[in-house]
Amino acid sequence: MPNGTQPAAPLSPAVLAILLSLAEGDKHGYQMMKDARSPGGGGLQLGPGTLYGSLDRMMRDELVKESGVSDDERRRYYRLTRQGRAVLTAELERLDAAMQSARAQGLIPQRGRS
Amino acid sequence: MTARWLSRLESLYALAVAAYPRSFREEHGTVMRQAFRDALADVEFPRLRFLLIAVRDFVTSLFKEHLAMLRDTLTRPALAFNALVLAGIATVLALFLYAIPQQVLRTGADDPQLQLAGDLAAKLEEGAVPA
Repeated sequence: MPNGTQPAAPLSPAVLAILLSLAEGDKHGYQMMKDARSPGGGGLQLGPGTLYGSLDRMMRDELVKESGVSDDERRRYYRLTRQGRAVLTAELERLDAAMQSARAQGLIPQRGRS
Repeated sequence: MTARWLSRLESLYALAVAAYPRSFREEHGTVMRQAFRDALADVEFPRLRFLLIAVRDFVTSLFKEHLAMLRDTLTRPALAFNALVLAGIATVLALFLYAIPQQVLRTGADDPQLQLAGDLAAKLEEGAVPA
């Protein structure tokens, strides 16, 4: 998203899963699909079409970019941009506020204190 | 699943990728096929489950990408202008193709009456009086 403007929240599950995956470092397509599938990645079943369609739009919005480094020409690695990280943080804060509100209302159990 | 089956599935997916909009498949076709290949090679994830995901993903993302391409095309002023001009030309042609046969039919419908009037005039000139 140029000029530091924020996209309209909430992000789609696919976009959030990709941003979360890339927050760990540069990844190629299947690594992002695997991360999205894991519970920490949202448990999302991403296929190649949705993945690259989302990446296409995210590159246009300057949330991610190609790293330019690859061990295989058939694999392309992607990297989170500063803008992408800011959008991810904003989305996680939004979700965190929703979770706190849900806990306060007793919709989900309180976290155990140790 | 044998290597031959895996190779067939990859070929089938390559055919499926060809159905995406041209610009999308030129940009992402190779890496999409590689992601498909990687998923099939992943022993930790059941292949049948992945294939079901891939089929559902193909249908939804194909529709989405074609819709996105159409939206991009229509939001470009020059392309939208060309599309409007083409639509105008097509409308005029369709009207001509509709109007010309209608006019031919209408003209043809008058022929028997004209013939009758001609015959009657000829008979009157010859002095024959109609009953």
